[in-house]
Amino acid sequence: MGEKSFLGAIGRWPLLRQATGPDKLGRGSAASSARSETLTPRTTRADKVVSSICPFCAVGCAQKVFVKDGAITQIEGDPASPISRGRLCPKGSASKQLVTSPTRETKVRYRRPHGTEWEDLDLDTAMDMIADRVVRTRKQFWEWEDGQGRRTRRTLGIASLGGATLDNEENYLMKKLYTAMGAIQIENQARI
Amino acid sequence: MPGLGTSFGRGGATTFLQDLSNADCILIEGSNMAEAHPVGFQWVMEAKRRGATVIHVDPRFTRTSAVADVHVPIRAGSDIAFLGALVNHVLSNELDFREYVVAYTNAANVIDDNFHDTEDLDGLFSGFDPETGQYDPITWRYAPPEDLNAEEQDRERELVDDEERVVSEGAGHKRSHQAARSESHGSGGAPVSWKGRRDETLQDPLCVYQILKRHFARYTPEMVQEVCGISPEQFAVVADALTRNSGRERTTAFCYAVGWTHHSVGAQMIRTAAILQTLLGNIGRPGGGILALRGHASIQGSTDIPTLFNILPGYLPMPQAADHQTLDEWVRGDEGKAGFWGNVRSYAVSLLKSYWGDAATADNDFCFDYLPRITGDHSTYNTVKAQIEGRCKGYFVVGENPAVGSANGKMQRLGMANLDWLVVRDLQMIESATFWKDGPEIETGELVTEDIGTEVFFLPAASHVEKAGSFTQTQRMLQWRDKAVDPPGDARSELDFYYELGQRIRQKLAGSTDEMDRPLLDLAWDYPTDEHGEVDGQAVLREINGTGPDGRALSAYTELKPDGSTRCGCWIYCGVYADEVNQARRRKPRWEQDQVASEWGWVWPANRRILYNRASAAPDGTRGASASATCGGTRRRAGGPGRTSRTSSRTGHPTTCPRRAPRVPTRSAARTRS
Repeated sequence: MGEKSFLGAIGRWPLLRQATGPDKLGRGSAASSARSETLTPRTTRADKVVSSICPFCAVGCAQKVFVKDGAITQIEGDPASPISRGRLCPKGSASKQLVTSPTRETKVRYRRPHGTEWEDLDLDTAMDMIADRVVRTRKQFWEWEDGQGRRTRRTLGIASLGGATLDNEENYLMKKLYTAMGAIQIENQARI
Repeated sequence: MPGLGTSFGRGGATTFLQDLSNADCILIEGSNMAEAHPVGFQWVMEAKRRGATVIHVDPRFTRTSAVADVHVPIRAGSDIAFLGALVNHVLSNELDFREYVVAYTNAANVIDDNFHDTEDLDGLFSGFDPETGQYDPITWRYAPPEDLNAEEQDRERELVDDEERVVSEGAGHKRSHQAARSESHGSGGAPVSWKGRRDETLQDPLCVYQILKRHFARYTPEMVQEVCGISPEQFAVVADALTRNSGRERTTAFCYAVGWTHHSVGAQMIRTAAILQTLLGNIGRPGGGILALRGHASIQGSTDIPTLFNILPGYLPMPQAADHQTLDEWVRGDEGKAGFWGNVRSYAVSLLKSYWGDAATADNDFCFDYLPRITGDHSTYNTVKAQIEGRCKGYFVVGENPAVGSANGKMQRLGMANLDWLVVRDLQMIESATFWKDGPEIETGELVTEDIGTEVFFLPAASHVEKAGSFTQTQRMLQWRDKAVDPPGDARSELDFYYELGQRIRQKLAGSTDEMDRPLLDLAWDYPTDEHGEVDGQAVLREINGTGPDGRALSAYTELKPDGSTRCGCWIYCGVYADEVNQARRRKPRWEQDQVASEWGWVWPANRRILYNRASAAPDGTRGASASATCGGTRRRAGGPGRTSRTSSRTGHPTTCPRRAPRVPTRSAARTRS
């Protein structure tokens, strides 16, 4: 190593640059390297940025969802929100992992009565089987009147328990369909 | 939400998070807000930075306690005694904000002289029915006005008839008056027959103020010491901070979370806090209010548009078989009474029109008979019992994990092991879907996989970024999310799942002449879909909002009609699609509006961010005698009984001007427990 390149290497030493240069905190130019100068944040490479809301607690922090090639690459707080002012808590910051988790189940799984293992089932067949079972159980437990002869027009055979991260539109369709089915044992995390 | 609904007529937080920064004192009880709602907590810290006193009442010393000015350890579950003593402190020392209390509360209302308090009746209020274990609150009503108008006379006669019927036929025939209706007070409040007589001097022994004073007299600092484990000195620190930071010039806010709501007497804790905040004049004014910190993104929404057994959208009650066999019977309890519930027929008919569309006509009671009737408590734990007993055989579990998330997980699993079929929809494979394979009962041998006959369908669900839709959040705000990407593989949204399920069921029943199938076949179940067959959530939100006779989106629930000419899926959300615009999707940046940010999302009712904000002005509509000071171009401390909202400059940056010397108890004085 020649003297010149040795001094050059010393001159590139981050600590020296931090001590002598303008970047006293060592978080900018002092810490950069030839490689880091070629890097750009993945947020700048997004094809689109979609406006969303954090799915965890009910404060309602706004999120910016960064999408590249049809995949989510980052979720960050939206500074425009009057509620959160761009902040997300540790859980909200980790919500990208909620949605991109490799352990997410993406295929329908079916367990037949008395079966010991999961089986594959295509979605269309599953939907049809579920509809059949609703029709059957609804009828089996249909009740026009209760024990005291009062009209009830309902089925006590079908129940539902929903989480409180369901959208309003989803809750609306659920209650509407269940009510038309005559199912009344419809509950939600909101009471639990 | 019954505590808030009963007190304020709206089962939601009275204020919004940013407004906490305007408070002079914030009392957090039953919540570890710094950890559980950390981003909301920034507004508590903003208030503290401006000199507000932050008090944390909690059995544990948490991160919230660590940054509070005062931490008051309390014996778990004893909150009613503590809050009751604060009410007593205010009443016995006449520290209430009298002008506010007289003008904006029912403290001056005189109560029926048949009302008897717990002192007279050995711990019970008048109207208790030992047979049903419920109260009939008829004696709790406002004393009738001296001159009843015709409508009020009708109502009086009806009540007398009803009482006579109870005497002659037994309580079983009793109309429910308001019993078991607390949840439906979530919007509009308890219906009242008349506004009745008032004594604005608050001296009448039967006025609300004097009844409260007598009732709460039992809650002394000594009792607090005994019941809550809080010393009289500590109690005095809190009482002093609250009362000194309330009144014409100042406001105090309350925050609570599941530390209250998960008690069996949670509604009573919240109710006591509501009484206290009302006496102190802290409702409807900037920096005041009661902020319920909901734990899940759309707990509020799941109650407003419920998937709950006892209510329909907008807190309309599910019909009870004993009392509601016609539309008239269903609405008569509330119809015509004071308050917004007086128009219940308009909301009820508009909902039925949203459900059954053109099939619902005046001639068929707008399909009222299509609604199934309830006959008691059909909540989840009773349902699990029914599953174990073999009376309930089909189960949908949607974004919930009762096998490990509900109380008595074993009972939940035994229930699920006794079903014909179970549908589980989730992002991950969860215990509620695999109990037949690897549940604790399989391990112990109590259950054997091969013996479990439950057919299980696991369907993968779409995440919050894979579907468009709205949450209703802790401040009653609807915020819309756009869809970022398609859900992976077989994953679908609940919106798509239920829409398709409904279509398939209807196809299977097509042509049926069985009367039991009419509600499904006549159901208005036609929603626009995109090229992938996905339902347009905005079309559903528009149906929730409601439409007028011309098919256009309505702007306010006051436009709803009882004649079937309007449709509305949830009357309290009417306006969220006003002007054919998805108002929940509004995203005007905070720096382009004031702190209230009324163009970000949409808040029920009527985009109102602070409930009862009329109370921020004097009764005559002025700001009152005290001059308003300004700081940095921002109005501060506008007078009236209350401060008007701080209308900051258009930059929207919250003001940070110095405030006068804070009235903060010192930390050493505050922590004198030992």
